[in-house]
Amino acid sequence: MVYILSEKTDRSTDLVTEWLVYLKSSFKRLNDEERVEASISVSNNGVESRYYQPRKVWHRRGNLNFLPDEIYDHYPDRTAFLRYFTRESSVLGEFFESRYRKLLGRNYIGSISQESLNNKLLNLVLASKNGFLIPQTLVTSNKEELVAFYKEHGCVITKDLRAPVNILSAGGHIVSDGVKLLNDKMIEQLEEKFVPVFLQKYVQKKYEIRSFAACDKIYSMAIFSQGDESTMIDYRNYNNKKPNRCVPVNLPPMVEQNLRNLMAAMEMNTGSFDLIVNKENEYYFLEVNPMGQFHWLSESCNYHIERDIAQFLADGK
Amino acid sequence: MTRSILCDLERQSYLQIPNDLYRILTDHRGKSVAEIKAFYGNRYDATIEDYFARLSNAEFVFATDHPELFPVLDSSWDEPFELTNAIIDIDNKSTFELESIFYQLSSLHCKFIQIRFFKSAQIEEMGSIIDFLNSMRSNSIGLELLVGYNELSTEADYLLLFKKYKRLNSLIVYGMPGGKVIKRIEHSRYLVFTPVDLSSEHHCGHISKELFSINIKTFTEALNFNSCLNGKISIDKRGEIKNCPSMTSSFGNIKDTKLSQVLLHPGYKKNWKITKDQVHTCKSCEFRYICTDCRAYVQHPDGDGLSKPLKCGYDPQIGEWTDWSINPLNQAAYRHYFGEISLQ
Repeated sequence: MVYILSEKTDRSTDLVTEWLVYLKSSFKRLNDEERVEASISVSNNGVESRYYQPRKVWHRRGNLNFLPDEIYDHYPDRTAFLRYFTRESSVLGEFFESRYRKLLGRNYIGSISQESLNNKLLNLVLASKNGFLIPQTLVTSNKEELVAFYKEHGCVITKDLRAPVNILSAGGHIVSDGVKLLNDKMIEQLEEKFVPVFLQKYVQKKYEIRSFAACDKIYSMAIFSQGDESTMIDYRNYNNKKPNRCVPVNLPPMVEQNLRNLMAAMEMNTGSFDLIVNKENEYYFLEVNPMGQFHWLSESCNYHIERDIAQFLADGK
Repeated sequence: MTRSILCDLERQSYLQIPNDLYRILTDHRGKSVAEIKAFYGNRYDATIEDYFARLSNAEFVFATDHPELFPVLDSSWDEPFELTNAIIDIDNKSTFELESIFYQLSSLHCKFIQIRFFKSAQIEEMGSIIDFLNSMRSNSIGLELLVGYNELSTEADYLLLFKKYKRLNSLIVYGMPGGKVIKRIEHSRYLVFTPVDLSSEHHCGHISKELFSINIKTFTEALNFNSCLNGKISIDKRGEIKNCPSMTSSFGNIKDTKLSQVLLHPGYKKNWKITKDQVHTCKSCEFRYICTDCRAYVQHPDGDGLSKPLKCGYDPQIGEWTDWSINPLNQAAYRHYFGEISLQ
């Protein structure tokens, strides 16, 4: 059986499953929001599970969910109880992933543990070891050091260390505003003590590259974000009225090999990579999302990535 | 063709360009601007520079030392569905069952269904269709209704249909006195009132700039398939299963023929493969990959089936739009299809 672990509203999963239906391949989609029954027995004879004998797995998003819906009526908000039960049952999801990643190898695409362990700083170190340039980066909670870094590089960006801000507080819903250029006013407003802040020297770019890797292939798209004030700092500060030019691009063979080596070092077989090409045609690594979106890239470049993933999953049925 | 166009599939627009610029862009792919200038004996340097400056401003081109890294955009079209859309026509004399059609379309994974009522709106009838669709698990995810104006039906009646059925994408009320009104219900859902008469299949097949579709999906589909009929199945008001209700060939009646059988008929998909590159006149039209098509009403009804759509007023040889219906060349075809009714 082919298992797809995902979320109810994930569009990319919908598109891949449409192809699987077309290819007449049987599969089970397990959404984060829907409960699956637990059944795993471990003995000296090995591991047995009544339900899960995956031939291939696409771990697109989310976790296996073993909690009955009723539990949310008992603990409607994220109380300590609910957190406790979620944490308890997460052992099963972790077991599933770590066991089947080992058993299936490249036939287990994706990983939620890598998504949660994804560390921008570790990734930068690994990227640098694998032939990529990385922008000078500083994480600090020291104002003097921050000011010195700002003065030294002049053009400095700041972004989230792990994930974008998404806080539902009494004061309203706070979401982050993307990547920002550091300015004098921001520094003036800083208190003496503050939480660690991620800073990076701004790299003058010719274009950005979004590379999506899956099923041993790498699909790359050049994003010409430089001509637009709102996307100059980061293409994710989308301009909806006049979207950035996005065209298919190939990585030079050396860079592609570096990316494959980097993925091996990260023990990843899928992911979305953000790269920059500077005026001197040098390739910078910015970050990687182990469960990044790819539909936008697939559509803009007419890559049919959804079909390729479905074909990979359907193969050898 | 008097001009060429550059189709902007991302920003959904097009830019008219001179034919010689089209030649430069296609014949000299991968060359530097200096090489192109040299190719023309350096006699047109200023013009060529001006072309590239304009293209660069509109972000159609970027300068690079590594053109080999930028592959040509894949022009294939591939969807995991045999059918993509269906048309069902209903008038006062229609007697077929809709329920069975909905089940068949769902099992064929047909995503979009358009139902055209060639009669004035009966809210109860539309309501019961929607109740039925709500009750079934369907793979069809989009519904469009087209219905004649009825002075007894209010806007609130129509809005209720949108509320009841989330997959109702649009409802068009035709023949309504007054001007055209488009009410946006929410993202991609519209209630439209139009004074235009759409009360029969004869009203289909119009070609105009307003109907151009400029995106990667429709562009690649038009490169490889017919931009109207590909992936389409139709049930006309008498239940005849056809490529399009306005066409004459029937592949069986819905009362005793399954849609899946029709798809197996060797002739059924023949029209799906007629691209604009095969249609006379259209094949030399700059709009051919962003335009719709019509194989039901063509300029030469007794010809090879590849003459241009009758209801197109564009002449690519002179680059001008005129009213197709007053073109003397179209009179014979008009009489052939619609008899002696006076032209609007």
